[in-house]
Amino acid sequence: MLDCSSALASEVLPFGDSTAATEESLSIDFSESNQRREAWQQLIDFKLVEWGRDPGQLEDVDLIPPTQAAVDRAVRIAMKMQQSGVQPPTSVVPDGDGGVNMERRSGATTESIEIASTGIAEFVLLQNGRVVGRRDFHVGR
Amino acid sequence: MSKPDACDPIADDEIVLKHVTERSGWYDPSREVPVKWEAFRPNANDVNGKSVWRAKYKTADEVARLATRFSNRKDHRYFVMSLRVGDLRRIGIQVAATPDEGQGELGHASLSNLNVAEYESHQDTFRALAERICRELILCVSGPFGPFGEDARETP
Repeated sequence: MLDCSSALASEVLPFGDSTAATEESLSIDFSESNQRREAWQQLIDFKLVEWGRDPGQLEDVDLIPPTQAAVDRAVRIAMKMQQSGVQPPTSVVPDGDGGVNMERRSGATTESIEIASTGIAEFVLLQNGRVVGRRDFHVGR
Repeated sequence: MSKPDACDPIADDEIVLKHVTERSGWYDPSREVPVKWEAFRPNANDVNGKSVWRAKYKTADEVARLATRFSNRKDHRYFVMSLRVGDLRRIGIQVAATPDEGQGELGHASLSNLNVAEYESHQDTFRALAERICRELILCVSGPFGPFGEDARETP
């Protein structure tokens, strides 16, 4: 059974390596580290900054585009996560109500950072599509 | 004489259609679960639930044209999901005919309990329900359709 306590601890950044630490995994090679950094940078430059520049591009009858507060917070979180060298998310999408959701899925586990239209962020942990924990997320505030 | 408004009860074996814009990123066939739960997350405008269209009255192409017509953006492309009503009801989602009085279009329906009040009161339960729809209940996704531009005013 998943031990949620560490993933939900406020000082732990989500999107960490999901495998147990081994000698091999402790020495993440330089190229992988660069790939992660580049993936975060692409997300910031080509998605979040673009949404901030022209939020109307997402507007639809079913979708309220991300607010500037949500995009600004998402950029700050992404920069912090990039600096920390954690894995990039598997998806970043508008939440449909003025916010931004970042998510990393790995098998049955989903880690999600939900940034509301106000810029307030929560970390949500799911197992097999069910929420098993939720906490305030203070990174990038 | 009034126009027909498609108020007939919705049978369990009916299919309903739901659009998503391509730019939303809510549909990506390369993902393990291609449709994101956010496609079913209500926003402040969804007081009466998420809108869908009954396949007995509208094709997927027509649903995409309607989405363009009702949107301020005319340059979107759309994907359209198909869902069986009985499958939705089996997991507790209410599906009701909700005639589109303002626009006079046949076949409008709502996933009534996927509304903003329900979401705000029961976020975790709601999320599980939306995840389940995405993982188990989507029969197919067609498209992309459009962009239709101003042509969306006319259905073929």
